[in-house]
Amino acid sequence: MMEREIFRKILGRLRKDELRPVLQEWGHLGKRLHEIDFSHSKHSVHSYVVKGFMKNYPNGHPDAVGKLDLLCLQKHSAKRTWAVYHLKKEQDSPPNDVADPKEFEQRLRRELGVDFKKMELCVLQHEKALWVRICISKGSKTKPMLKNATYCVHFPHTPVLIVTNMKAATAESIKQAFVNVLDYDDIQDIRLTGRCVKSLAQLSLNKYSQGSFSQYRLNQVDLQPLSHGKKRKRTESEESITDPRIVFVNQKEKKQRLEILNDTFGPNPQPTLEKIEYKLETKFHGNHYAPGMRNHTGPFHCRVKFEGTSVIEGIKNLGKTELAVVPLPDHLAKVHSLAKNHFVLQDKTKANKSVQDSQT
Amino acid sequence: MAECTPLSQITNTTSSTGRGGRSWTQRQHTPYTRTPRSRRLTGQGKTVPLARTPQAPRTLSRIKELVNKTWRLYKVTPLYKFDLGSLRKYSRLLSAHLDAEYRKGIAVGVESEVADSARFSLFKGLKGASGDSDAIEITVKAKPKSGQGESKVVLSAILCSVQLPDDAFLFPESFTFLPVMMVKGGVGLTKQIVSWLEHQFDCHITHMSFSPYDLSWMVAMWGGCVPETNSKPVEMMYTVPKEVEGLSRITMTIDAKVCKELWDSIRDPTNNRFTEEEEAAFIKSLESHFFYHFKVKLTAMYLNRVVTSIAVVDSSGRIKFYSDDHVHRVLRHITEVAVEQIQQK
Repeated sequence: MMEREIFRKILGRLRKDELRPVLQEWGHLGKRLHEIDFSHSKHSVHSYVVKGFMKNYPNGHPDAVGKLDLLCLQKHSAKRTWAVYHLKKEQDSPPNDVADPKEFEQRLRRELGVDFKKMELCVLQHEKALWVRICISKGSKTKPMLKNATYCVHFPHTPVLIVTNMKAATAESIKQAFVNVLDYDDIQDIRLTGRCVKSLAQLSLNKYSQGSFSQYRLNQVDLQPLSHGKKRKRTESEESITDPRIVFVNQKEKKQRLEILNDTFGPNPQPTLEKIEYKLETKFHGNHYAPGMRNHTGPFHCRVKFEGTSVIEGIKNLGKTELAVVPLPDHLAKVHSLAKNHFVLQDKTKANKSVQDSQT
Repeated sequence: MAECTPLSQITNTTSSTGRGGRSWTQRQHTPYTRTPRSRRLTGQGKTVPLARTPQAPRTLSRIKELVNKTWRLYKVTPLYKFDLGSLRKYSRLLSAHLDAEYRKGIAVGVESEVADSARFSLFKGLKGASGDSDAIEITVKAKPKSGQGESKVVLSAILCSVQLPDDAFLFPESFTFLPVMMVKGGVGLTKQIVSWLEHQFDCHITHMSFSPYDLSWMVAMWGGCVPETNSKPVEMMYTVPKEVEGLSRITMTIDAKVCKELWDSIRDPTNNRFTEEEEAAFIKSLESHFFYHFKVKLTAMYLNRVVTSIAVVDSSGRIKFYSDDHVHRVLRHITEVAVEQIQQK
């Protein structure tokens, strides 16, 4: 039966130690969960789970697959790339927001039911956010396919929506449904993508308290700034080499560099981004080595991509290891406060000024 | 600015002594390579074909088969007693060897295929000049284990030499010099074929890897070749040193048209060879454009992969051709680099 295979596929995504807590939260196994011996091989444990579910619900359960899929995704959200959208409202009036998952689900079902006859919808609350799974089937007779499911994360009372796996055919309807349900006017792609949902949320929600301001947000600043007590804890020196014969000649420059870097990036760990892309449409600036290009008018089109496990941290380290000259330019150093990772760099001309003004 | 020796001096010293090798003052007795002051860009070897002599007719040339496939590059020292007439004998010997390896238990094509037959054949169209030896192709076919179905090509290797540079070393008649081997196939099977060739022809076959310097030469020379159809942007991918945690690669992609303009502006069109100064100008101008915007020193990173409209090459020796008109040009350069790397040893 198709459902058995779908279950197996979803369960296969979980690690062995994650099976029990997820199934408990799922709840559709009930008492039969205790009958399963989790020390067997993964394959046999999956068989037991499927059997137990079939016994509980011989005719199947419409929301079971969706809920299990969403729970698995919450554990492995880093496997997909997420994109962040911003909901916009014209007037200043507060939107008719909803924080209750049940009510959210009802409203969403009503909105999407207008366009799509057959769909699976599941809303769960997880770590202060509403996780939504929407699975729409193409025809009226076919069952919704697992790979077509769109997942969204919404933080209540904020205009932020983080989405993954949105198919082109249904994208507009889903976006419009969210706009209607949350009582906003428009939705915009703010060009911020990544794999870590937490970091993306941090970048978009805490846009104005990143970098060195994160100290205030996280309560790390001295609560009694006027008291001049001696610091008990000595800060560890960077150099672990304590041989007295070695003299470091550039200590002052190093200290200055580290100070500047700490000012721009802050002492706290940076949010993880996997990729930062720049599209350069400026004039060519390598004229010192290529004098023939001095007469070249028009932009020198090129694209630059920085990739890694945590690119913002990497850029800070580039400054630390002197592979980059400090102070770094703003579009590189202030990425943590810009809430996007696809940039376009243009020359400052009158023609571009109007574009810049409209974007800020 | 670095001081430049007049171009005429350079070309004289490297090509005047002909095939007999360099004079004793220039032959290398040190373990270090001498970086070349200039390289061939276009142009033929000793024999320049007249405008009307037809080169290998296009219908016979199989260059189109090389395009759009990823090949692994190896460098091959001269083959001893390789006879073009005994290709059938070599095919039989290699097939027997592969069969014996399989029976020994060194499984090749574990899943579904059993390497069945190997065939040596001439690969037409790759010969650059009359001084080159003919290119050889080795194909290994395999039948699926279940016994049904027809055999399909499991590995394809091409040994070739395209316009050997004039100052390659001299070797007696019994040696055939095909310095470049391109292989497309499984790793295990490749190893077996390599060991058989080494054993049979007393040669030495090793992976070819390109240093960032080699790759920067390639992108500088081919960055301006933009074919009419299917032009791709020029891309340079740098890997970041390990001390920088979190950042692993920086990629710079330049629009093809704009790159060609840059290339034309630094290039002296009368000269057939591409000089070191031109290469330095190309790379340094792009890196300084990058530095102006990001204040990051690209010169300190390792150039790992280079994409141009005619080929993509990476430092581990993998290559893919995009345009069949320019395969000769790319292979000519690869031959030169292979000869240099062999001589270095």
